[in-house]
Amino acid sequence: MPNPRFLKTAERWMNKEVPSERAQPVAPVQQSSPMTVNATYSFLEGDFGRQVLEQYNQLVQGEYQNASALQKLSFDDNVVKGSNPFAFVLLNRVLKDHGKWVARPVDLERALERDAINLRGTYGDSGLVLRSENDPNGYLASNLVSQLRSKGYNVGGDVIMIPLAGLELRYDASSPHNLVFQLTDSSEIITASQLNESNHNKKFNKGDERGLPIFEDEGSRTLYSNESNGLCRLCRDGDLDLGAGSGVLAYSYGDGRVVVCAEGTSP
Amino acid sequence: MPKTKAKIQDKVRGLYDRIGTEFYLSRDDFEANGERFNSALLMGTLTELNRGNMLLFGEYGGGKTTSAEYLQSVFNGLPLDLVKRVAIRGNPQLTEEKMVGRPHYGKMHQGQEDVVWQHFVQIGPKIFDEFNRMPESNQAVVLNGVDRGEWNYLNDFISTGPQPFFATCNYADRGNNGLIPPILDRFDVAVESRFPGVANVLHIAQDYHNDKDKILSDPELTRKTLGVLNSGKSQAEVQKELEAIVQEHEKGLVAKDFPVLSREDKERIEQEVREVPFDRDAEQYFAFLVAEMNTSPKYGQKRSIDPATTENGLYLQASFVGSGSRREEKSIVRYAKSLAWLQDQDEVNLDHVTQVAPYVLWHRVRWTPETQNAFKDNDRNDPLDLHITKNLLGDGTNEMPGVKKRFGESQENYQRVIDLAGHGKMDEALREAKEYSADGRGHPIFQDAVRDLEGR
Repeated sequence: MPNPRFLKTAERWMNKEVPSERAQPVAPVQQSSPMTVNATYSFLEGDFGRQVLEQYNQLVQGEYQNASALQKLSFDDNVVKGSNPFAFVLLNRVLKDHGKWVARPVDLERALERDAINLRGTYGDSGLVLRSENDPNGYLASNLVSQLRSKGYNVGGDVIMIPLAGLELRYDASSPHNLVFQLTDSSEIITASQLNESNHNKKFNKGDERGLPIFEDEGSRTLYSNESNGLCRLCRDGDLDLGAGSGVLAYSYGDGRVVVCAEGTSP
Repeated sequence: MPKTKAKIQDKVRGLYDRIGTEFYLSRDDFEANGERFNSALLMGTLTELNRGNMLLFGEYGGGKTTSAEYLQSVFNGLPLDLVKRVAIRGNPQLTEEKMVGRPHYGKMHQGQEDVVWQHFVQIGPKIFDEFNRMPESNQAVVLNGVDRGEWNYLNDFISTGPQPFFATCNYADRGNNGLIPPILDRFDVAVESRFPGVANVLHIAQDYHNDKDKILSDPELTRKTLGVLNSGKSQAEVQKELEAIVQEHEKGLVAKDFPVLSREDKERIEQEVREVPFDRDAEQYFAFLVAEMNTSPKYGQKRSIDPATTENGLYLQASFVGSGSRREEKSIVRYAKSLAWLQDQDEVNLDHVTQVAPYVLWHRVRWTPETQNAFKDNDRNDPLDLHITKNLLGDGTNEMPGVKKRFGESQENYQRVIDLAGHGKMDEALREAKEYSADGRGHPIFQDAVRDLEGR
């Protein structure tokens, strides 16, 4: 039986009109995890980078049957190169065992604000952008939508952004890439109207507390979000612009860099 | 009777202005609904109206004690020299016998038990100077007195009821101690007595012997009062004679064209303040704040023995150790209502709550080291803890958004849950509250609403 005091308060606060059915599904407002407060940022490099990549490759071979979308990372010039969302989700699994994680959008924005790492000339994935169950990437999108629904989320209104650092990867022979993304208890589900197609080409200088762009007419960075459907990657490029409209999920090349975050020991 | 109401408010504003322009020169550092005040003086005034407890922090010679003395004298019709005489000064040797009462030595030798109460407890409005020079072990002695105006010694007790209580504290140095959390929780608000600015200091520096204080002082009445306090008469008789002395002093002040608040004025103010309602935004923000300070999806509720966890997102609960308390919530309500009354507003609005709440919380909340690190290098005007509190109760920063920002983001969803419940659609209300709760990652207000709707 509901708490009568809650009901009394509701009667006092309620509007006269009975609320109508929601015209648009509304995703819950969530707060980002505060891991960024004291985080340190670095590329995946040196002996640690080599060790992590070895562990990663063992997983690719042992658990993911050498799925081609995962065979995109290399160790060259003392640093791990390459980036796509599949690889980063798996890489995050390895990094977690070392108390680190792959940078989320918010981490990248904080790193840029603090000038903590030079990201110019490199690119990197940080999240997935889910708009509908359709193409691009209809299979993966539809799979994610059912997972979200089973967790009580309504999908189909605003764009949803999911940082890669909270996801896991499952082998699925039916999937075009033999892989599907798996939500976990630590997945952040972020309503991201900023990534709507209508904001394509808008300018910004920095991100908000979720790492999403705060638009400014005079901004020096650009959001590219010329897509209204399916599942795309959220990816920062070498000019620090943000791409949210690319459905080519497996593509990776040598400018890709893994930004690794760790809890800082000093402010 | 709005006209009469305004008249009393004008009187209170008159006292506030008089202290601010003649006695405690300061700069305005507080704004509510477009009106500016000095925070120490404003919170002090609200403390007088509420008969609350206030902590004053600041540097040596920064005006902490002075401001408290003026407020107690002016708002309670007590000679300023008497207020100074009965104030107590903290030191490591301060025992219960020196603060509260001692055995009547004469009677004790005759085998009788009787208590001689110290002046400090006999006079209602109190100042405890350099409060944190008292060792932590002795602070518990004043717990009840601060909280309820009740003082115990041996088998006797004295009750002055709730009365305005001011305690001053220097910032940490070798000679002082921390204040224990239960004591901190008993102080409704805390403020900093600040550097008043060069122009004000030049003026203050010319006041060689506090000549301005003469108008508020009355050595003859003070002597008479001390005689009453030492008379050994019953507490009821003492209080009656004190009342007469206050009236005599007030007459003198009125004759010198200094406004006073009568006992009837104060009773009326208290009644009117109680009746000021919260508007919906103000009350819902307050509900969001309470939810963020007291709930924890991981541990069921916030507790001082559990760590501050960040697993469920960066809500206030993740930023401090401990939990909210029923005292602090009452303090927010009382002080927000008093401020709304003082500003002659029909309702407490969001600005009243958001401006008052940091002063209620900053001395009580223990921010985690991570939270302190996130703010410690900021440019700021306030002490660090107050600066953090103002930020995190307001909009916050990009890295650490504040309660007000989250309130703005989630109020619409919350209102839907409220509307559904209010119209009897319990199943829909519960379903939506669960959706917004998002397995503990949504705003804690929804987790709390789910529990209320499920009746558990």
